Amino acid sequence: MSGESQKDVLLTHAAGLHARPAVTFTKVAKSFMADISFSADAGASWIDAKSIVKVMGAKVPSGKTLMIKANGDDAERAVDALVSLVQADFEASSGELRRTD
Amino acid sequence: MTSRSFKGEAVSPGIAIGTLCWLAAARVGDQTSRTDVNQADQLRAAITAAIAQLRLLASSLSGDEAELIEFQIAMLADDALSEQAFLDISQGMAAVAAWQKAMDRQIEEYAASEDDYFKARAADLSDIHERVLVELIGGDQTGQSIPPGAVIAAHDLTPSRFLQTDWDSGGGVVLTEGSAMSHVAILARARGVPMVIGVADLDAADTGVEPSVRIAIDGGTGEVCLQPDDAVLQRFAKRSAEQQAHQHALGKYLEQDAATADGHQVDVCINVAHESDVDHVNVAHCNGIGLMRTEFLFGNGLPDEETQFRAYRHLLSWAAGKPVTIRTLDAGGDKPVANLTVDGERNPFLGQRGIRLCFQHPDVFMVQCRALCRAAAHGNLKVMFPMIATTQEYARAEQFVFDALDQLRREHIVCRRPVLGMMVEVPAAAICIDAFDKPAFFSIGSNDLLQYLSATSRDDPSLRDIAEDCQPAMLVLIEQMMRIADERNQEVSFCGDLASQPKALAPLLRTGLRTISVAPAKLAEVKAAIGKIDTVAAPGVRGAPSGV
Repeated sequence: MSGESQKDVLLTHAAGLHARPAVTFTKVAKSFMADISFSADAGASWIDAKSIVKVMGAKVPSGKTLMIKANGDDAERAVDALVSLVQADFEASSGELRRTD
Repeated sequence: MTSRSFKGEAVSPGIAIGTLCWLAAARVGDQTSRTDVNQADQLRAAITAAIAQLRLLASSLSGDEAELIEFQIAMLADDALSEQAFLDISQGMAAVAAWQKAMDRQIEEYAASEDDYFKARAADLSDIHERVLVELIGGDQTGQSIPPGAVIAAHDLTPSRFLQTDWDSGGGVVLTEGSAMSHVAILARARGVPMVIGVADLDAADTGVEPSVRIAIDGGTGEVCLQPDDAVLQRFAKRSAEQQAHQHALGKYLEQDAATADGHQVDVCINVAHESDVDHVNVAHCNGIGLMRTEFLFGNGLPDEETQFRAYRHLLSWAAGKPVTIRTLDAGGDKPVANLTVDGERNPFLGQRGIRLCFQHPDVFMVQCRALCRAAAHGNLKVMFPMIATTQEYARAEQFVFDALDQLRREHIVCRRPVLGMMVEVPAAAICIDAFDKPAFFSIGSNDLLQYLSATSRDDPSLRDIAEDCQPAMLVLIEQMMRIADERNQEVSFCGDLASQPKALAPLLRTGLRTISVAPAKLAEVKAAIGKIDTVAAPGVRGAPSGV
């Protein structure tokens, strides 16, 4: 599945894209070969999803819609994985902000 | 000097009374880098050394503490952090100056953020900045030795300094600045170190001359007192004694099995989602794992059999013979999994989720069943299926486990049949529980059951009252379940959020329930609450939902 892929996802994590989610986000991004970037505002610049410094630097608050795009062999899987991660509240690892059910 | 009181922000509860010890800045060598060695190489080496130190530190930590250090490592390992510094170096700047310039700019950006959370991250960058700087030009980041039991005072405190301090003999932290959202505040709470921040008018100049100034801090109220007099000391001592008694009482509850006021033992197990959830839990404080949610293993894609097997076995080892109940993949609804869950359902809670989704992806489900049957040979494993609506579904799910066992045995792989049961969360199953004679146990999933019974969405806070008012309907079903299960020797347990709420516990226990599962952090509180409940039913405790 080569080529380009782009999807939108709402960031609902209580504290926005902060340290723990950002580390998880970049770890997942780095597991794919495609170039992946995201943007939190239409017209704003695209941010490298594999760079923790850039992701943190974006200081994305909760409630923003992230546009995630990727370009490369596994672009579609990469975007899907990141979208799932954001939807699952970054619960790929344990932490204080856990949803219970 | 006379006693002086201050008020700050309470950030980590507890009382600390001790010698005031102002923290000196990290001793850093002279401010220039060696000119005989290539500047870029020096900086690269310093960063590499800093990462190695942090990795070593991280290896001795776990849970939140390890994650904070992981965050620092991730930042340091990112080229973007030092990009500007290397650029400046290539233009002729010395390594130290370039590093300081690059870091100062980034630290300033965070410190200037309006969002308190991001503002607090400046402290993490300062920590990284200092560590690399010390590598570049020598010095000692651990700074002066701090007498045991002393209360550290500083402008701010880096996570590294906190972690390198020995807190075993007591002590506390008081900061003139600091942030409640800082990593060091999280560390202080995790370690139980009293901490007060924002005491802006506490000045080193006032206290620097005295050889040893006493200070008392209350991390629960934010009160700080220099040279406390007897009256203040008495007050603090009383609060400290009260807190310790409370902790001790909770501790006693933890160490024993829970029992109601009228003498019925209640098994209290824990809910987990990840292997590391049990890192800080003493298995002696609970009666096992009542629910392991496996969908978080699937957060990064579909884990293979080996990965799952290792995770399940880790929990079984930790449990040392106590029962571990693992719920098979319960994706869908509000838990999406890439490549598995269906996008764009109009009613995801009523859609392809739980066991239904597993039937749609038999290959994925089989991998999980195989991993579970392999793990079953290593401990006391119970497996339950989520969202079962009919006996046909239960039989079909069970068959997967039997097929997995057949496969594994043919392949001569060690395995065992786990005890099998189901979640009771679909109303149809709860009402017709009589038909379910195969499961060895039932676990009531009240979160979803109550949603379906009250026709309210958990996500909407304005509907919570309705859901709460419908609890009697759920209690009716539970009582029915208890009667039938009792006759057939099937175990019934409860793993919804309600079990963690003391107010809701009493009616639950009065139905005859004797096994519940709660979040690990709630163990002490729940066991203590059980001790106060009398299971002889109070009059009028049951009734039809209001408005019928």
